[in-house]
Amino acid sequence: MDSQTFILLSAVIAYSGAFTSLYISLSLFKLGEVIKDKGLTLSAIAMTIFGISLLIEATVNIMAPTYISGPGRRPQELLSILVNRGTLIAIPLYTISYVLMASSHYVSGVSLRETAIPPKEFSVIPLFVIMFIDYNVIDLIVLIVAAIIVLGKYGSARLPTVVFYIVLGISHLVPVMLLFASSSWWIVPLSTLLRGLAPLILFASSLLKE
Amino acid sequence: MVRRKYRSQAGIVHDILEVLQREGAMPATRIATYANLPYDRLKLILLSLEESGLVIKTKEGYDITEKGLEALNTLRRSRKLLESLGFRL
Repeated sequence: MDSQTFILLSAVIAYSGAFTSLYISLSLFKLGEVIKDKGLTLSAIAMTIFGISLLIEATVNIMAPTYISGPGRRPQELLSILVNRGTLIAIPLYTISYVLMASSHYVSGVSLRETAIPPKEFSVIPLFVIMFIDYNVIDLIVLIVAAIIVLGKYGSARLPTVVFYIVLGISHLVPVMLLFASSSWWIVPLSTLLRGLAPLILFASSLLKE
Repeated sequence: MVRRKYRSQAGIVHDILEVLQREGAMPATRIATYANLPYDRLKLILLSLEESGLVIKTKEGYDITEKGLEALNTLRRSRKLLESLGFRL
């Protein structure tokens, strides 16, 4: 598969994932409003931000030129930077989205044993994380691991949910290969493609019959 | 160490509305048993559901409203999606 086709394929999957995320968020917004569950509303906001991030990433990346030439330039390196621009713009939004995803399970989780309302001081932890850690791959991986841990404690760590977070984690790990791969045009589109695939997996699993 | 059990707010609301639909109006203490919730926690949730118009207070206790039935159907339709997102129902 040539670079043009692969970049286009990743953009198509990213757009599909973005619109699926926005559809999921709409359902969650409606449900959260009906039953007054702040956790669902937070999750809806997280999915909205995730969908918008995917749209931005795919749109800006696909607009990057595929060929650069000229005296005194280093075309391949410049191309890598330009193809990555959408991802760099979207990264802070992904971070916010993952923080909200983790927080939504904490907010929605109701203890079945304690009679008193549990203290909510730990809910500020994700805010501290976002304030003190720079927006980078490690940050995103830490947040995804945090989301899985919070999910296991306050939510239900089912297979589709864990697969969703693992695919997201891998999508953010893939760009590390930029350090090692000599021909790296496919790395950024692959990470975008994986991020687009994650909500599609989640939504498809919700359509499966038990 | 005993692991705390958590359930999502959506799951609890689903259980409350479902039992009221199935069994009809009942006092809060019976709903607490069916929904497997401490009484004081349940009272807060019932208050919120009453404010939203999903349940109504009657002389028998609490009963589900038309709006509550619609909400229950929406919850049933969204069950798989919520579970896929990791909300414990």
